Amino acid sequence: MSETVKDKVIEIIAEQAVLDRSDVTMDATLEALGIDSLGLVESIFAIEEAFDIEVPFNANEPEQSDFDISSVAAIVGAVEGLVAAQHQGA
Amino acid sequence: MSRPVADHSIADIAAALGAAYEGNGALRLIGAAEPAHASRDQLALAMDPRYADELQHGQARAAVLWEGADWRAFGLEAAIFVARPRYAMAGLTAHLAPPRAIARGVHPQACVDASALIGPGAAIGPFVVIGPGARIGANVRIASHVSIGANAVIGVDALILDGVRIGHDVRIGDRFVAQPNAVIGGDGFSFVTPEPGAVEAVRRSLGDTGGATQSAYARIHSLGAVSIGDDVEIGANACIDRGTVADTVIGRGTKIDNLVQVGHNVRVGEDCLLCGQTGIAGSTRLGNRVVLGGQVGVTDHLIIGDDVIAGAGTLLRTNQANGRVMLGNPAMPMAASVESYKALRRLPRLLARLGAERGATASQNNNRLSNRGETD
Repeated sequence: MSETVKDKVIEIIAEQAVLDRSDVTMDATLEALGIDSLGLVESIFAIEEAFDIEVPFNANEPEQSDFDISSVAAIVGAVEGLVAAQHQGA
Repeated sequence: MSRPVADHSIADIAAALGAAYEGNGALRLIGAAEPAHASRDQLALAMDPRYADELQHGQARAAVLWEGADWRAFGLEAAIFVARPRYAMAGLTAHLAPPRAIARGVHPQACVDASALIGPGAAIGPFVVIGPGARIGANVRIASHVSIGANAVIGVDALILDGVRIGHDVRIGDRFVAQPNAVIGGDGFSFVTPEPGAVEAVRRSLGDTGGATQSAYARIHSLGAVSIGDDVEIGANACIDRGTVADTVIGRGTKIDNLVQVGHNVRVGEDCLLCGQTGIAGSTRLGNRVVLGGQVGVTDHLIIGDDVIAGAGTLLRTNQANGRVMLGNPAMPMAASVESYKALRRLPRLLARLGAERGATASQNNNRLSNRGETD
């Protein structure tokens, strides 16, 4: 499951950044990948739709959110946590 | 409808289209018309069975018809058959269009700098101004009131219509077409504040100025020009701004409609279609074969991949991967946009139902309270 989450998150981020998946490394920040604030919002919608989850994210104050976007690895970890929490018993 | 054009034989027209004909190939016609309005000397354009009825009412002796049509049943003497009617229109109209009335040579009232080079066969109309060092290719036709800046280069066979402005140092490929009053090579809309301003803060935070305000603007001058590939067409009153350092680029084969705005440093790929009133903000890159419907907006510094299609009125505010088909504002993949719109339309009914349920619950509670009041 976790490998699937990682692959899918990288696919979504690569698509938003218009990069090859191989260019999206786990330690990269969104800023370094060229994804701006609106690009982040689009990525979060894509993540919500791909995993059928709700992401607790405050677009106006990203750093205040429970959703950690400090790196690709952090996002993957956060999505894994949300999938586990919101798909309990599924 | 009829225009003073040379006459053409059915066989010649069919050959120009690469299409088959049946009947009298020697029949000569002067131009084309819609089936119901065609005279005896006009070619009726009836490429779809739904025109069959109109064809009966016109006077045409020959027509362009859909494949397999029974031309004799329409009382015609000859017919040309095409497989893809819209595409056939390209060849047909090219064959029948009257030549533009711009006399060969340089009109005595044109002002051409002595150092400008004009290719053989060029036709330059009155009140045209061509600056020093400009190079105009062979067989270029330039209508009246066009201005072409210093050192601009224009390839062969261009058709530049009335009032077009081409700035200095702009480079344009072969077979360029510019509709009246297009402006290529105005300065970019580029200004900067001495300190980081509110716009930069708002952009980063999605809404918070952080107390920053805008201040007086310093002008960033445009050192670059515009570079346009072969076979590009630019619509009336469209504007392509100069680049800041490098050129703004329009790729080969791209067609740009009326009133389109292409900002400074934009790079448009090959074979793109930009429909009327579309605007592309500075430094955005479009891939190849991108199609933007009417009134599409694209914000600055984005990457729009190859083969992206955006429906009319779409506002692209984020990068788009290759092949995406987008719609709406905010732009969404077309299927998601339609689904979201359906949900939006259902929202009032949903809210009304929620309100009704809440009202029912509230009145039940009220009844309970008042009942209690009575019993107490």
